[in-house]
Amino acid sequence: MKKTFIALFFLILVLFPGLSLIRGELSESYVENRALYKYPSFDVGAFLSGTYQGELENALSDQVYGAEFFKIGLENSKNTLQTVLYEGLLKSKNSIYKDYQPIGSDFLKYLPTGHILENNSAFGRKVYSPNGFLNLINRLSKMEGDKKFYVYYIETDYDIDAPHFDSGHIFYKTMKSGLSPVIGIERFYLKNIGDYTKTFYKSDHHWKAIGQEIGYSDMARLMGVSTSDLLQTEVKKIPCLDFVGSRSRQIADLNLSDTFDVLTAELPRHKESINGIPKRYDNKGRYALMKSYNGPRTANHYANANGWDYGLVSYDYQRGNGKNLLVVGDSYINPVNSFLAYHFDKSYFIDPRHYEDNLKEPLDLEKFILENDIDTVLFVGRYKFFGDF
Amino acid sequence: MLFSSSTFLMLFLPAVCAAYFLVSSRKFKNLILFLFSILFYAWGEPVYIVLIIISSLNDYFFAQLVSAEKKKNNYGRAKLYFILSLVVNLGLLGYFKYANFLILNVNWLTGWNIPTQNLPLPIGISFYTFQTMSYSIDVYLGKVKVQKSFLNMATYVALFPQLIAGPIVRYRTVEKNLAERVETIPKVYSGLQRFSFGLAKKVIIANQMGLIADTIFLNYSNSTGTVVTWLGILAYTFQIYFDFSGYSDMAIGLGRVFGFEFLENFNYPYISKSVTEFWRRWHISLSSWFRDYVYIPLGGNRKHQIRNIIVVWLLTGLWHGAYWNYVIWGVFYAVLLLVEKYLIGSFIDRFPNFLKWLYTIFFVMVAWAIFRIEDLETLINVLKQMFVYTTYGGTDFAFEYQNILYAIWFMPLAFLFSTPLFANLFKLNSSELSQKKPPCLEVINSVTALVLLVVSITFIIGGEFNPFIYFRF
Repeated sequence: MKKTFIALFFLILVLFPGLSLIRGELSESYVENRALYKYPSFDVGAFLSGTYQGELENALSDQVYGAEFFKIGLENSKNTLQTVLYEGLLKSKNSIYKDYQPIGSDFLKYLPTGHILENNSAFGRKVYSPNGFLNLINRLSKMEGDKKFYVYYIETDYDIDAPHFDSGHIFYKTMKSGLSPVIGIERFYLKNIGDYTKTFYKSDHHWKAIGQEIGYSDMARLMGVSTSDLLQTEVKKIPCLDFVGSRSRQIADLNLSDTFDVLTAELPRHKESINGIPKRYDNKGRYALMKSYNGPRTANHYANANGWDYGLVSYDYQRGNGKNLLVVGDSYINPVNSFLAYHFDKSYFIDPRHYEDNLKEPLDLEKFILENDIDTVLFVGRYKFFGDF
Repeated sequence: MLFSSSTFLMLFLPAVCAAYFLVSSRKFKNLILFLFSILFYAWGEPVYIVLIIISSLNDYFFAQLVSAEKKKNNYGRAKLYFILSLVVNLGLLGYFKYANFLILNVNWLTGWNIPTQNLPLPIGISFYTFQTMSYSIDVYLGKVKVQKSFLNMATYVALFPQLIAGPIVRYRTVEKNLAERVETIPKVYSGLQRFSFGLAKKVIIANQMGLIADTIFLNYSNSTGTVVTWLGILAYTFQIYFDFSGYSDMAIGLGRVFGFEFLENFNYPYISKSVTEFWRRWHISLSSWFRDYVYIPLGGNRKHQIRNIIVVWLLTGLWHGAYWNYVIWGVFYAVLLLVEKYLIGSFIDRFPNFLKWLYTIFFVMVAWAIFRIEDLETLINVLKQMFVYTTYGGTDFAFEYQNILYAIWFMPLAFLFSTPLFANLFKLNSSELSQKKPPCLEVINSVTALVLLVVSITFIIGGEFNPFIYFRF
């Protein structure tokens, strides 16, 4: 009995890392929507600074066999316990909270639709400031030549009242008041939770095709495209595709999903490249025609269909209007890249989070604008994008 | 390295056990324990490993000199070497733990601007300094023989099970173990079981209580309210017990695996019926250290008892940290113990047991509030809201504090396991090795220990919240 216990005790300890060695290292977690830590190689300097120890601990937690199972199990258990007490305390009351249910410490579920929202009320939430961005764009706007600068701010659940922790659209207002008057600004406006649920996925932090359509129209008109010149876009729903978005994966509720959709339009022949290499960027055409899907349930369809985040995506529509566009943005711009590019000769879409890594050189926007003869510059993104400069 | 880390559980523990039990000679076993202990410490703070070596060398050499001089009846010199060893020990502790506190207070009092030292506090320095001092004092007093082997001495000082958070193992407790301990299957079995229960106390209960306490106190404001404040104090009361006693269980369990018998450090302190009894049950190794090496030498109960109690509690407070709240906490206990001893002790004895317990736990919780809040302004605010009723927007609590809602479910568990109910039921008390248990209890305990190990691993891998409160003391 005693010997069996000792053997089982050590078996439990070595079983999980042992099996992971047989299986091999994993590179990413679909559930947590992030790259996984890998076992670090030993380095005396890293050991003395303590980074090796931290990396090994992270790698063990990520790589041990069944880590995802442990995490989902624990997260679900916590959420269940939380919900039971929450319902006991609040749901029976006729309060402003009755439509909201907390999930972990970072998210809320909006019960009437099932949308997963960021919980802006929780303590210690990071406060983002657009000041770094304002310094940059105000400086760029003084560049010589007839260059036009625009900002399109995409409001998300960060900017709305859910349920009463109203941000007052402060981020947008701060940004607008700090911009040089020569810079045009517009926003994807969310008046309330109703606007949000119409235009955003339940299970993902991105906008749905209907939101993308409004965004495309807003941005094009902001840059001077007349309404009659706008592309005829179409929202195509893909009923066979159960989209388990990033937030479902983050809260470990893989049963919460959306019907996926893409925004399409007829586009003339043009050239595309990714990080300077000629390559087709999106897969919307293939998705629009999809009749059945047998791939992984947790696949990132938003990125697979609309295009992944790259340092530089370029389009050449050869419109002959002599107008070249530079868009600096986050993943929200990906579904409408090609539509915006349609209105320009040459267009460049830069994701500053990946530029240096992909292009092997630091991002110098001023230099890029001059070298590529850019006359229209648009910055697009949500609060995290503008708050990270 | 933390006991409740994946690195310790999945790599370090199996490796040290395999290496230890593969060699047969006692000398090699001690060498393996020493080397792994150095690695264990270096994992957290590689540079400060030098301090442990200095501390070991200091007490090893000065004790040799003290012993040699005593043999020559040269007591003056022996006393000089003994004092020098204490100066080095207390000098290191003072410099790394109290220098900044002293400088800040001197600057405040005089208006000077002496620059502060931004040195991180070496992990476990308070614990291992008190251990090495106990050795030097006992050698000087002739209570233990001088240790001839530096390896044995260094193994005692650096022994990883108790290195960073106690219990404070006195040299005399393990003197024999260092040279002639016996490792047996029942000891390994019992030690691993104890480790598993300790790990569960830390990971499953203490961490959830810590989440509640930290969420409330790190976001403390004028509108936190009386009920939420008391909830925070209650959570902290459980957190500190399960955190520290869980660590002690793990330390005692691991010591037992390697053949050492450490003394118990906790004995269900929250069932105490007086503050005096509480301190007989809480952090026993520290209170007995102060009793034997400070209180009794000062005169104990025989003379200047009030002064002695105040000195011991000032030092106990300061031992926990170089902040004024720890000093206040020590003085608070000194006053409580004196009042209980000289004024209300016999009156309280006439209370029914429940009222005695209520009186004790009330003051213990107030003391934990003082202990928890290092910022004096916040502490005053907390104490004010504890005793002057302030409302909190009713249902707002569940929404505002939603991330701690799941953890509140662990409070009844914490309450239950802070009593000896289950330990008595399953015969899991301190004499577990000598007890004959019915086979069905053996099976239940073993299965429970293994299940708790898996659940603890789930919490470690799945959770992010994993601080050790006593790590920095």
